[in-house]
Amino acid sequence: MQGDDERSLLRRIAGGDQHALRCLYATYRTRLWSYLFSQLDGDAGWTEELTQDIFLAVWRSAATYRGEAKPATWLFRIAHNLAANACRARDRRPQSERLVLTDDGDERDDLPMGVSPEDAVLDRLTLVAALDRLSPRHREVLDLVFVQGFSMDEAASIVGVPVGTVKSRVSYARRALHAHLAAETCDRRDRPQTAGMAGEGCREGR
Amino acid sequence: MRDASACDRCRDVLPEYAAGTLPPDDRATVEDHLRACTDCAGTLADWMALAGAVNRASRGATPDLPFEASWNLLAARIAPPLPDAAMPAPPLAPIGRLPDTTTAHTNSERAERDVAAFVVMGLHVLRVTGAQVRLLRPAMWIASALGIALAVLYALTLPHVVGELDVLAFALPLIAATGTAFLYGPDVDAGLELALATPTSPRLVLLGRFALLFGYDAALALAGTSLLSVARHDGFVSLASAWLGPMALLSTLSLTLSLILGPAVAVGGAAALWLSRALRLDGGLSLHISAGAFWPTPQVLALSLALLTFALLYVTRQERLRPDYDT
Repeated sequence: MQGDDERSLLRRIAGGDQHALRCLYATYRTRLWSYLFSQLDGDAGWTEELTQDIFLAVWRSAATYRGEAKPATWLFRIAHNLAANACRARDRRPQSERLVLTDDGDERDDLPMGVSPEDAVLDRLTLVAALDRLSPRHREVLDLVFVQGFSMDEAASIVGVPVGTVKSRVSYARRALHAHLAAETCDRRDRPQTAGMAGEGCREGR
Repeated sequence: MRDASACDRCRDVLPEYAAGTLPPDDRATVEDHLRACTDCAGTLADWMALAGAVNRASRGATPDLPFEASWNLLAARIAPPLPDAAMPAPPLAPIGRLPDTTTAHTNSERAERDVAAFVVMGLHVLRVTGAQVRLLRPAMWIASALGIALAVLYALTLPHVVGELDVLAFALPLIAATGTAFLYGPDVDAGLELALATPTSPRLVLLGRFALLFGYDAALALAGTSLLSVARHDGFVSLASAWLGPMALLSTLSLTLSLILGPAVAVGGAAALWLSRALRLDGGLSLHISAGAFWPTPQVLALSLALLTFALLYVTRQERLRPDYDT
């Protein structure tokens, strides 16, 4: 089981095994980096620094891990605390421009029938814009549940709130996104069609 | 006919179903329900859209720095390189006295640094203590307030002065001791393990929690004592003295026992000690409380402080013990 392997790694790290720390770092670095990136307003340098701080904390406090929580939950709890402390201690930087439109051929390949590339870009902008309108607390639980794959209970223990609070934040995000997308879809219906668009401008709201 | 409770159970787990994290058995149950319930199927569509949106928004968030470069930086922080042995040792300081002006300037700077460090430490203590408010169970605050309110109300109904004093001396310390038994420890704090993963000292966490709860109980007790004092024209100091010493002693005793033996033993032990010391059977079945058992003498307060100090030392030692991963 992966959890048992990771518990074994933490035991070895507690004993001073740097190779075990490297293995854990290789396993979790990208996930934690992705999680922190959204918490730190898309600041890559700050995210890299804090990701390393997490594993520095793991190196120093691996002996305190009792094995009651899953290793992933324990790691993300450290990440949450460090991110919260860092945001309180430093001035929040202006929100970076996350709507970077890369010329990603894969995105074109993912388009369903009848959806133009322009619509796909607009969809992504709309979704990202809708999510950006949510508070950091709401975005964080969405990230933990839908991207990092934690259960509601695990997300609650990571963030340090009751599980009911996590559920209400996730439900609020669903209602907010639903309302925003519905409004955007109706607005798009009124935009004039441009040459090259494959389908109708108005698609069913989700 | 739509089964409302089945729909409620299904909707409760739909976010995790949409995220793909539901256990297989629960997933099968949800899918069985979705086949028969169009309402829940519609709700699932919303959750799937949200899950997709969140994943699309996070796409592309990967580290810029290659893994090896990142690991080398981390490894350097874990084990900084040793000083180069080939480098010449710094020259010895010349023998002689340094100018007095240099020493005076250093002392002034040192004093300023000490003051600044003290202020920073104080702010850190306040922040950690304040953070404990959210971590303590709401039931503790409510139970303390209810218990103290009931004790004060009961004391108000008693016909004579001695009765009020006895009720306060008996009830208030027990209420406080019950609360402190559930302040800290894996038995009562589900998030303790995760909290210990942070750099915050467990000693500071425990001290902050104790200060909060004891301060809260004492503040409520003082308010109730003031009310009694005004209502009955009694001496405030004599009323407060009846419970302050016992409250400090029993709270710290209960806290210490909870750390060593658990909250149940702590509550039972503190209650048994207090009952055996404070109660006596007089004649038939009537009970009398010896309110003078633990007046806030210096010895009682010193003993309370000693117990608290022991608890703070014990909790640090407890967290340094190697955990048993096999349990």
